[in-house]
Amino acid sequence: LFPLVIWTGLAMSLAFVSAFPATVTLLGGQQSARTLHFFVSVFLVLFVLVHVVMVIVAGFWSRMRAMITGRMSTHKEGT
Amino acid sequence: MSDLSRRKLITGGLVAGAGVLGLGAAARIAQRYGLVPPDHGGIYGVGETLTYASQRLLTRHSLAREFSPSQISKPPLANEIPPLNDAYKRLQAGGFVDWRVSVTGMVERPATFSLAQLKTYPMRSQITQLACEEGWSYIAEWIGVPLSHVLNVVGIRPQARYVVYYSIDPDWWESIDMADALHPQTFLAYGMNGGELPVGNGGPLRLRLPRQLGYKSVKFITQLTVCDSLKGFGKGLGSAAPEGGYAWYAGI
Repeated sequence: LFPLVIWTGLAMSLAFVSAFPATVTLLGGQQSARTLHFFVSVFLVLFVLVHVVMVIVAGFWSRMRAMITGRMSTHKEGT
Repeated sequence: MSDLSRRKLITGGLVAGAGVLGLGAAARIAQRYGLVPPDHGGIYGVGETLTYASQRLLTRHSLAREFSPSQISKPPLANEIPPLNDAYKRLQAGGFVDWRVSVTGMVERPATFSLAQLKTYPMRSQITQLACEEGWSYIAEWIGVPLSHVLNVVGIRPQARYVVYYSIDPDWWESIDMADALHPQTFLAYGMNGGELPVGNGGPLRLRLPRQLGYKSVKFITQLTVCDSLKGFGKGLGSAAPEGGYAWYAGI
């Protein structure tokens, strides 16, 4: 998704496209790039939301502690 | 703390010092080669500067894509324009015969041109897309005289770095650097799709800049000023666009 969002973003850049026209012609024009860019950005937002929800479901504070300290507190997970 | 040896401290210090000097030198070189846009301050300033600098390095001489006549949008979208002022309406009533565009500033021979005079210069046309910040776009044939030709007629001085251009509406003005001003596809356009340029598309005279967003292609052009610095114009940000929160450089 990230390469696609960058590609479709560059395809909307008038100056970039003037130097590298294939970026937009391969996508079928500037308006197609715009549509793709929009939906890819929606998917990226969903991707973030889903992963945040997964962290919360798996135990928010223990995950946060694990991220910061690098250690997993096993005693809470075990109970 | 045992990790922090004298050697590491010295190398670290040298690297940091070189970094600071390098940044300073980079800023100076960028300034010298015209890679710093006038709206480089503020929260978005760093982004604006990186965009402008990288696109100037990559795309200085590149040409915007030209389309075939069959791809021209029908009808050409004329977006909503602010109410035209009395000065415009007077000129419109006279069929734009008295429309004048003056060229001032750092030029050898400041001059004022009528539309008829502009039409005596070599006529060029391009079928290019106009894309707006708002997302819409259309393809049209633009007919006019390359801005570089007009600048050659008046003779730009060597220290010139920017061209500021004004609409008949005093709130609407923009500026471009010399790379864009002398670009072969930058036109003073007076015609469209084989006819006159309609009022809704900027008639009788519009600056056409196909490598940047539509708001840089200012409609109803009445004045051009060649200058070496944009500090004295408006709030010093380069044009009306950054004063309203848009980017000065709109190659995007």
